[in-house]
Amino acid sequence: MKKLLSIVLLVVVLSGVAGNQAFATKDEVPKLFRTSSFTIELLK
Amino acid sequence: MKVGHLIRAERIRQEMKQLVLAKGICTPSYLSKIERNLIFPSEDIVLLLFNRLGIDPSKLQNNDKKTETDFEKMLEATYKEVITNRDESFTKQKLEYLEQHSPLFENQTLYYTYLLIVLRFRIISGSNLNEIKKGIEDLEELSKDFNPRQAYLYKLNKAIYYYSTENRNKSIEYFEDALLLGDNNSLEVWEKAELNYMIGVVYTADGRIFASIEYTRYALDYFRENFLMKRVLDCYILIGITRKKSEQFQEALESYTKAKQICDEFNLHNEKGIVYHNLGSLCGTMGNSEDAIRYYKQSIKFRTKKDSPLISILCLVIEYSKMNHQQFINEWCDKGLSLLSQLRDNNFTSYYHHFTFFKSFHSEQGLSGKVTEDAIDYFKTIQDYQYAHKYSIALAEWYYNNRKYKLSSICFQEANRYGYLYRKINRWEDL
Repeated sequence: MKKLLSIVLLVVVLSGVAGNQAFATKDEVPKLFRTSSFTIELLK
Repeated sequence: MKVGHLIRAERIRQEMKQLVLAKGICTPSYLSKIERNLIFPSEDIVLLLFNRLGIDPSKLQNNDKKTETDFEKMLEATYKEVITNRDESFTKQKLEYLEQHSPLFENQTLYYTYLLIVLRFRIISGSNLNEIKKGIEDLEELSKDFNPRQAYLYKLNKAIYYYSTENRNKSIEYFEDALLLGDNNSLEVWEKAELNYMIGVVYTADGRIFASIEYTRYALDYFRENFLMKRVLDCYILIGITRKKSEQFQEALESYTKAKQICDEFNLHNEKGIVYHNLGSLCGTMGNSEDAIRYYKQSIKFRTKKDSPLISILCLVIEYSKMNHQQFINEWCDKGLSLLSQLRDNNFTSYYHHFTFFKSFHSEQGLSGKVTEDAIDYFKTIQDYQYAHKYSIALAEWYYNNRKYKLSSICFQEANRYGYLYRKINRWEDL
């Protein structure tokens, strides 16, 4: 059980490190061409 | 008569083999020479070939310099007007005019330019993507005979098409090709500004922030000098996003404020939706959920198209989720889902998964493994690893908090894998 918990914690730490690099909020990028009927861009 | 290029283009469009077209009229090898304009056939043969292809011979234009020059001037002026003004009804009207007249020129260069410009108008007026794809494939077969300007227009069409299908890597590849060709083609200033703007948008959408600024600024200068205020506004939004992504929040705010001023001064009320949305996103990033919510709600008010509030509704849900405000999350998820059911458009499937995820996450019964796994599977299928990563983490944390450590561990591992894919790396050492 202890071993399993330590694995879980390591993975939690790793995903935490990775998560810092990406902002979670979403910006709306203007359309490539205004007449477009395509979806508004979700910025990644 | 020099009509080989017309016959070839139409035969390719109809996916007809040379053997089929030539049958009973001439030999396939003779047809091949006609198509490459190596032989100029008699009028009788031309009429027979035209007849089999359903080409109306009355659309053949006078083979004189004036007719060609006049048409070329009209075509280029329309192209410039459509691209710089970006008026939806104007574009459709011009496209309709060009398609109805579909003039046939013995001048191959002029005819190919006509085909390329018509395709561009079709893309920007939102024609069916499968038809656009077919148009691009048909032109590929003619592309060996394109002059440098036509090669530039062709690459641009491909770049825009791929952006529309959300294949950004391919889109960027073709935009960069177009950029190189553009440099060798000595483009007019307006055309260069348009190209720079598009590259600014695509780079921003792909997170290539530093590259994006340079191109957007070039476009901004041109649009400002020519009082194309809607275009200036788009540039300020792009610059705001790049500033925000570089954590220059004050500069981002200044850029969005300029965009808002333009909306007010030039009565561009329809544009306020996107400006308020990005102001909301900026506040959200800065940790100010209350202001973010206020801006998102304002943004929704100014949306004119049915689909456009979806992004702001989703961001509202995200902010309420940060505040753990169950009632509002539920209300806004329901609004989003009801809008989706009215739209009935597969392009918005990702929103369905976002809303059902947040609804389930904050429900009384707690997060549903099935809802989350469906969402993760969907984002995995469309190779949107950011969301596969995000929702895998949410599921993993959910299991962890509910003491399901083994499941949690598996989900965290999956989440890390998607995180690597999202960052285009293979190992933790590369982080």
